[in-house]
Amino acid sequence: MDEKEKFETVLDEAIRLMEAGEDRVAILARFSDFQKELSEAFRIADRISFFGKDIKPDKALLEKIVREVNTVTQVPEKRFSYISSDSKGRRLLVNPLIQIHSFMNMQMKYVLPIVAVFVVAGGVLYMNYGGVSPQVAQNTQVTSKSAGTESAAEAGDTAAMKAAAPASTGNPDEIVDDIIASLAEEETILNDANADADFVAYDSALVGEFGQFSYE
Amino acid sequence: MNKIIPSIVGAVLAISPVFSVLAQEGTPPTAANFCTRISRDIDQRIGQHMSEREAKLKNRRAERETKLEERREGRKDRLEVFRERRDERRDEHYTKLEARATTTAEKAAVVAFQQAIESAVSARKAAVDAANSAFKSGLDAAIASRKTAVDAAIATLKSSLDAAMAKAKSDCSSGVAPATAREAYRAAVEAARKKFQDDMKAAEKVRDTVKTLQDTRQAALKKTLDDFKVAVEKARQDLKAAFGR
Repeated sequence: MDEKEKFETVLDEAIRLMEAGEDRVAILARFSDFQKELSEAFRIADRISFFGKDIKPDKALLEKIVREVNTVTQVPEKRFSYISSDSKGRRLLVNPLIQIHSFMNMQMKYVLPIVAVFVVAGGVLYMNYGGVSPQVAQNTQVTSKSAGTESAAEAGDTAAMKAAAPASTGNPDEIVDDIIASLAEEETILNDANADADFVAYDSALVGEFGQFSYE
Repeated sequence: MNKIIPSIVGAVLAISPVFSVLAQEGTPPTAANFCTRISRDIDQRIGQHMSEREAKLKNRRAERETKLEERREGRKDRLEVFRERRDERRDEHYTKLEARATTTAEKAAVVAFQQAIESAVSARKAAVDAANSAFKSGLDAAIASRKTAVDAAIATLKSSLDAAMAKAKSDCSSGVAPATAREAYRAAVEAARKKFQDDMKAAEKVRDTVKTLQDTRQAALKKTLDDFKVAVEKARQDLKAAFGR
């Protein structure tokens, strides 16, 4: 169970306790790990409860919204109204359909063929140069060889790494550099063990649930 | 119709404080029903909560063991493959070096170089394995220690809850007022919960131990790396000197 699910469980329990008449302070104390979130939830609930008695949209806010919506025209006759005088409640549905129909007629006759051409071209490119193509696979192998050991190490593919290693020249500097460079790959493997430490508290969230129950 | 709904809403809002006052007067229903609910409802619910969590905890721990083992095995395999590949690669280097050595001094230098490198590699392998082994056993010990602490905390919680439940049942059957019995039960449960939270906080301190393990391992690996580089660089200089470069 992740944190979100855990909080949802706690919230459900908190609401249940609150409805059962338990004091909020006691509820917060009970779920000490989620005090902040629960306090916020209570605060929002209080606000809704308080303001909900007389919900009226603020006139200034409405004017601001209308001002900032670019599509609203200054010409009243051209404004789309959801509740125009002749509306019977179907305009909401009909108008978008008309708009879509118009768009299909006017725009799609150009857009659709262009999209189709791109899709076909993409498909052709994928079939010719995708990972399944033997030719591309061969090219990739050549590229990785030229890139040397580094790219293979990043991929973590030991077989590719072995194949990608250039032949030894017998040059002392190159030999020692190669030995030192290989340490990076080993370190990557070794550093992976650090994440094992997380397994110590692998059951932490679940253990915390033992103390979260209701006795009402 | 347009005026009816606002009127109803207004009336409800107007008299809603009265409901609140009425609800607060007298004994709360939960307290009044406490003694009738305690055996068949509360006891059963808490028992079910505990047993469900215990089953989940068992599964989670098994899952941890499996995943951790998979990770360790995978890493061990990768390290083995890496080492084998590097062993082969060094052999290739030595062969080429031997081919380049023409004089007796150069040939001797190549042998010395090979011995120095192999000695450094062996020392590094041993040091890495020791650091890994120490970390692994330390981590296993930390996991076991935490498990013991968590199990003890859960056992204490369960036992405290059982005692609180027994006391509440006794109170109810001996004529103690339900509200009083409920309050005593609530206080006992909250104390048990607090004790459990404190125990868990103490158990979580194992993370400090694990951090120390990580730091120790990192320091050991760094030293191994530094020692290896020093040895290899010295071998390089010796070899180059023999080859007159």
